[in-house]
Amino acid sequence: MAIYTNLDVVLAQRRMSLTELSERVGITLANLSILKTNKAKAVRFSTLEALCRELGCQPGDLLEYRPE
Amino acid sequence: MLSRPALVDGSAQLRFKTSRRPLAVATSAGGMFALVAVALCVELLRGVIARVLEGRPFDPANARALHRLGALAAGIGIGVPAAEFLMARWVLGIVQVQGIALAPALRGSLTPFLVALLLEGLAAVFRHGAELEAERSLTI
Repeated sequence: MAIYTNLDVVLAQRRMSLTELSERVGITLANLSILKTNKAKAVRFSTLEALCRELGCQPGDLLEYRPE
Repeated sequence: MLSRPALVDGSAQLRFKTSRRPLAVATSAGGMFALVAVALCVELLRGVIARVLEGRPFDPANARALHRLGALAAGIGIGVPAAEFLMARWVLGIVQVQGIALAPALRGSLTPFLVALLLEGLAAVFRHGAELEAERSLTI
């Protein structure tokens, strides 16, 4: 998969823990962990919207394309 | 008026008692294989039903179980007629019946193969379902 998430970077910048983000966006810690460790196969727009809203960022801040 | 009927073809069972151990063992072995095949079918189906009732219909194990059931059905479709033919040849080689020419016949049926085809089709559907389920579970 050539799409990577920079969720850990954005969380560090906002000084927020994964647990706190999980409570705010209403996604389980397990699923957020899957996203953070780049094991996810797909992300819903609704999830992206919730993450951008709570982290105050753009989708491009969370997602990165690295050609393999 | 009907003409005198003529026997064109016929099949019958030859029954006899024997004290020959190999014959008795062979027939018992056939019965054992049948029991094992039935037990295997029941166990595979039980697993599929259990996983469906647990809410995991598209578990990869279900696709594997259906594939194995299909293979078992195809195996029975080939194995049973072959075993009956070989057994009949063996028995008729030992047993002589006066006045009647007996010959073993290889008789098969399409039914086990059609059942195997159906089960393989179902296995392919469940395999695809398992792939979709895996993708869904990794969709955040």
